[in-house]
Amino acid sequence: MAVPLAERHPVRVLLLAIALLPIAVSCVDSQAPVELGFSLRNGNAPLSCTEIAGGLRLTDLRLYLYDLRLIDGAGRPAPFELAPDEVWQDDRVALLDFEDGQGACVNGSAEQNRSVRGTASGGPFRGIAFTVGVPPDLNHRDPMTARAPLNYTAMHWHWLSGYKFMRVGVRSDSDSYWLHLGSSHCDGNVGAAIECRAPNRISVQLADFDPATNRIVIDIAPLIAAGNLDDGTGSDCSSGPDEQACSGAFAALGLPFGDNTEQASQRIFRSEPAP
Amino acid sequence: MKIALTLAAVLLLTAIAVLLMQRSTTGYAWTLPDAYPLPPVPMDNPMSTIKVELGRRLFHDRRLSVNATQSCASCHRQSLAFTDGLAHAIGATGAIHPRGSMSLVNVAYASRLTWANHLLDRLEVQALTPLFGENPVEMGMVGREAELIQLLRQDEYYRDAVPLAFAGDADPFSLLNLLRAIASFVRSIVSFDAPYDRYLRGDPSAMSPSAVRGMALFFSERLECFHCHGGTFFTDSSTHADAVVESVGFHNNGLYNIGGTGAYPPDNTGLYDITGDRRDMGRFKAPTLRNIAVTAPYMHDGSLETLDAVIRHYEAGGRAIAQGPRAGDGSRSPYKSMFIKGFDLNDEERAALLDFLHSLTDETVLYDPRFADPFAGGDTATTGHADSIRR
Repeated sequence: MAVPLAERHPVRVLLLAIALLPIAVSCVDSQAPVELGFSLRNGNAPLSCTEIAGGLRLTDLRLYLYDLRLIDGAGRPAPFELAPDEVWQDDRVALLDFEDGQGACVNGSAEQNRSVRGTASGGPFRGIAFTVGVPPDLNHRDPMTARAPLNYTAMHWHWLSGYKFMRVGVRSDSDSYWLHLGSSHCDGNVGAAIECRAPNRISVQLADFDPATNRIVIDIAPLIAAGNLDDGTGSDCSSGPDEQACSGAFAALGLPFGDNTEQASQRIFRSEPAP
Repeated sequence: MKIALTLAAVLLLTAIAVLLMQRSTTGYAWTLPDAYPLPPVPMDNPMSTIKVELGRRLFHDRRLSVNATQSCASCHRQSLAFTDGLAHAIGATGAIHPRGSMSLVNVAYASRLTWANHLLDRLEVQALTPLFGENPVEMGMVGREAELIQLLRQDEYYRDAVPLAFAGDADPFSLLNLLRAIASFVRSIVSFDAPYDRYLRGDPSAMSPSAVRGMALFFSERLECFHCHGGTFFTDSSTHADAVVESVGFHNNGLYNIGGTGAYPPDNTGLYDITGDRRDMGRFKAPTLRNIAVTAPYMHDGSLETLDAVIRHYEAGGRAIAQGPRAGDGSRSPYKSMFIKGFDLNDEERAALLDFLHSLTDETVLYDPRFADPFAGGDTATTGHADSIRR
C-alpha cells in the first residue's frame, strides 16, 4: 500500500544499508527470519466476518502484542525481534487484524494481518511467550503523533488516555457481544506518568510451540460464553469498574476483575500444528 | 572593534529571533479586557487567525460525521452558549448519551475537559472522543480517518486553507491538523462581557440591585457556592497561561445516593468510571456558571430542569428520590462534598440569587459572527452529542 522506502529515498536507504552492513554481517549467522502464524476459532470452528461458526459471525478482532520471546528446548527465552513494516509492526508492538470490513464487520477495513514477522536466534524452539497489550511507556503518549501500528483511531481509547489492547465482537441473529480491553482505573498527570491500577495486559505462555510447524490459535469461545448471548440483557464489556459483563471475560483472559484478584491462566490462546 | 561588531551582530540576531518568536506566539489578536490573563495554548499549536477560521468551518461541517448529519455545532449551538438544550445529547446515529453537552465558552481556560475525566486536559485530544468514540457513538468516524483526510484534500475551501494554516508542514493534510484547527477555533470562544463583567469594570448600572444582593449571597460562607464555582470562570477547574498551580476539582453534589450506598446510576458514575476508586463515586466537574441561564437543563444528566430547581437542590443539601431504581437520599451520601450542607433562603433572596446568575450571561458571545456557522442555511440541526462515559 505505501511506496517502498527505497523508492522514496534511494540515497538514504543506500547510505543506511552501507552503515548497517557490518551489523548485518555480524548478525547473519545468528538471527533467522521467523513468522508466527495466528488463526481464529470459535471452539474448533473457523470464524470470520462472513463465516458462520456456531450461529455466530465475527464483528471484530484486533489486538496488540509485544514482548515476544521464543523458548528453546532448555527453557531459555530468545528475544523475538520484530521486523518493522510501517503498517502492522514497529520494533516494539505488533497489531493482529482478523476483520476485513465485510459481512458483520462494520467500520473495519479490508486489510488484515494474521501473522507476526521478525527474527530470532537459536532454536529449535519448543514454546513461546508474549503479552497482549501496548507497553506501559507507550500506552499514554499522544496518539496523534504516534506511528503505525499505534495510529489507528479504532484502537485508540481517547477517553481512557490509552489504547484498546484488544477489541473483539461477535453477532448472532438476534444479539451481539463485544469486549474492549485496555488499562483502566488510571491516575496521574496528563502528558506525563499515568499509572493504571488495572493494567489489563494478558500474559501468554504456550508450550509445544515451534514456529516452523505450529500456529497460535485464538479461540474466542470462552469470551463468547461469558457474553451470555441471547439472554436478553446487554452484556458488553469495556473494562470498567462494576461492569459485571466483564467478570467472565476477564477470567477467561486470566485477568483479575473486581473482587476476583486472582491472576489465573488465560484460556483463549493455544498452540496447534499448522496444516 | 571586531568583538564589538560580533557582539552587536549577535544581539541584533537575538533581538530579531525574539521578535519573531513573539510574533509567532502572539500571532492572534485575543479580544480580552485589559490585564486579563491569556488562556494556555499548547506550544505545538499556536493560535492564528487563519487557523481559527479554518477551525470554525470544520466545527460547523456536518461532513465530519459518519452520515453527514451532525457537526460539532449540532451539540454545541452558539445561541445556547454552545450547548444543545437537551438533558441527554443524541449522536449522529441516534445513540442517546448518558450526559448533556457542556458549554464551550471560555473552555480554553478549563484545566480539565468534559464532565468527569481527570485525564483530559487538551482540546486537541478531547476532540477525538466526539469524532471517533464508539460507546456511545457521537459523530461515528471511528476507523474512517482516511475519509477526513480526503475531505481536507478535496474540498475547495480546505484544499487552500489547510496549507495556509499549517505552512511549513511537509504534509499539512493530517488528522492532527484537523484537530488542531478545531481546537484553535474552540479556544477562540472567549467571553468577558456579561453584565457582571461590566459591573466589575466600574459600571454600577450593569447589574440590578437585586443581582448585586444575589452576588453577595453567592460569595457568602452561608451558601458556599464559590468554593466550587469560584474565580473568574466560576469553576475550580480553571487555569490560565500564567497559572503557577494547577486547579482541578471534581465534586459529589448529592444528586444520588442509591440504596444509601452512595451509588450513582451505573451509566453515570462520574470520576469513578475512570479511576475505579469508590471515593470518586458521583464526582463531576463544577461547570462554569458563565451563561448558565441559557444552558438548561442542568447537571451532568440534565436531571434538574431550571435554575430555580438547582438553587433548591443546594438549599436542601442534596436530592432525595423517594422511589424507583434510583431511590435514596443524596443529602446523606457518604461521598458528598463537605461544602454542600444546605441553607435557608427566603423568596427574595432566592430571586436575588437567580438575578445574579442571569447577570453572568454574555449576549455578545451568543451572536458574535466570528463564532457563527459559515455554511449557508444556518443552524438547523436539532440533535446533539455529549461527553459521556467509556468511549
